[in-house]
Amino acid sequence: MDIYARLTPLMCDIFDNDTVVATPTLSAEQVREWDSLSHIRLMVAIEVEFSIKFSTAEVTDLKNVGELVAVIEGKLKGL
Amino acid sequence: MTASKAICFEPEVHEAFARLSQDFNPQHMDALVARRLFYGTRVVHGTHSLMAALDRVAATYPDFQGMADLKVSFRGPVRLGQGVTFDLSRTGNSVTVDVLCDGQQASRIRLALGTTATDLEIPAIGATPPVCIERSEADLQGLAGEVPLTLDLPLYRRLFPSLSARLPHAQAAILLASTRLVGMDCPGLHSIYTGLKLTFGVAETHQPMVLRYQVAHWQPQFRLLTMTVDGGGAKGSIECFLRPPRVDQADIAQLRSLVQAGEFKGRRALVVGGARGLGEVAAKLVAIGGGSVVITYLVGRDDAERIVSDLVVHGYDARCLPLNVLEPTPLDDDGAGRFTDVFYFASPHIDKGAETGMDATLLRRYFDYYCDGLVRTVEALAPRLDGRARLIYPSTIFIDQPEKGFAEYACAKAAGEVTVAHLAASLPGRIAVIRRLPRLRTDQTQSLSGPEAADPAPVILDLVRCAAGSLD
Repeated sequence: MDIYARLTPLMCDIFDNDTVVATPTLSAEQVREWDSLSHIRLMVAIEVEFSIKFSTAEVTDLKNVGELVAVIEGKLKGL
Repeated sequence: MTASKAICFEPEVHEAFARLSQDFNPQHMDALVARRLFYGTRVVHGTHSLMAALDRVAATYPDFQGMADLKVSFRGPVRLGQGVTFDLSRTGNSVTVDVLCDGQQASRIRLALGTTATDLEIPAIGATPPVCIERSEADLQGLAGEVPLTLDLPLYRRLFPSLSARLPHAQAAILLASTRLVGMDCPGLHSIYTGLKLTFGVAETHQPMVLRYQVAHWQPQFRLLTMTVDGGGAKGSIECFLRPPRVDQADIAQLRSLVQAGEFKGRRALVVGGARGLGEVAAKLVAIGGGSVVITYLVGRDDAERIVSDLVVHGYDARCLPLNVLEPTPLDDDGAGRFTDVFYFASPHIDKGAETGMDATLLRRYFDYYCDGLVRTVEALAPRLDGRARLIYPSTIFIDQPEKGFAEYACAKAAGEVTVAHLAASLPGRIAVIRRLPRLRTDQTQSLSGPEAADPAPVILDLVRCAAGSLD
């Protein structure tokens, strides 16, 4: 399953919004429930789901889901 | 969708809920303590708004007899006295409730209707209230325990008449125990309750009347805690943050090394809003540098007196007095001369505003303090100001570097700059000193994950020296 497909149910659960679909251009501005607290909750859920760790800078500078996926891919490849 | 009439959580009802839940966390109950915490004021228990919403569900849907599943996301605070509305929608047995506060979603509740064949007899609340535990990060990993399931039935019926007639008492007791668990026990004192997931099954009468908990995941970097819970026929999880504690500023010993002896001798400073934060730092620096300081406070008398007492014990010249910048009264002449410097640190709690556009109510609140309050205060002080007094106005770097959600704050601060410049121009000889400060570490800049705020001491010392240099 690709990363976007694994992110979608996490985002639906965290944001309590069944209509969210993870796409490269999706950003916090487009999801009403994507606020600062739910952003942290999402990052922690992703850490658990993918068995990775984010730095604070990595999670605060993201512009959209495409950038998030790039960070996840990098970590999964051990970069 | 059914939209309800607005309801307001009045103090009397709020305090009754605290007795019912036995969650007496100061974030909810102590106005003076809460003003220095994350939300800057007392907030309604999330579980209170949850149960008020469920009360509305019970009143709206006659077939409501309990819950099979419940999922709650507490997204934002509801402050005491704020109105909330409940937007209810239903598909089959699934009900969704959005709790809206000032148009923002304060929480979302999703539940599956269900029935319970038997209910439990829930013990009454014990005579000794629980103690609010302060836990460190190190305490949390792997922590486990239990909180009792209790219910004050008459009080429950008074607060939630529809819900108490329909919801199994065990389910109510579990909801009440969850807020007590988070607010009083784990994480306890420094907590923000953000999420609850429960599945309700058959309540077994031979089991102890407790809600057991176990920390399942503690993420220290983001201060996020997840617990599994079970008891009273329910299983599930609770999610919460370990809230940052209040920010204490540097003490006299730490600041003394920064200041040259006597560098502020001859200065008589009035520090408006000096009972904490940046004002506290400015007051200490001026006093340590040999100046005399009068600190004003709105409600933080204890904080102001502690600072003054500390300075006086060390031989410095400091006093404090109450001042409400929105309704200032002239200061009595204490015979000690006129103020050479007025530092204006008065501020309401700095809240995030609209994602786009401007929140007019928030903008008005900022204007009240940074513009109207400034004018009124300087006018009230006029007889006590030295002929060449400096009006020192700390502004914000957010004017130059826009920060999402702080447009109202930056806008009002910019207006304050114009206001202080005009005030100085209208008072011959008076000088406006304006400095756009970076994000500095105070109660107001506490954050769960945001950028680190800088040490205020060197920045504020620079401001105090800059003000001195404006005349020297």
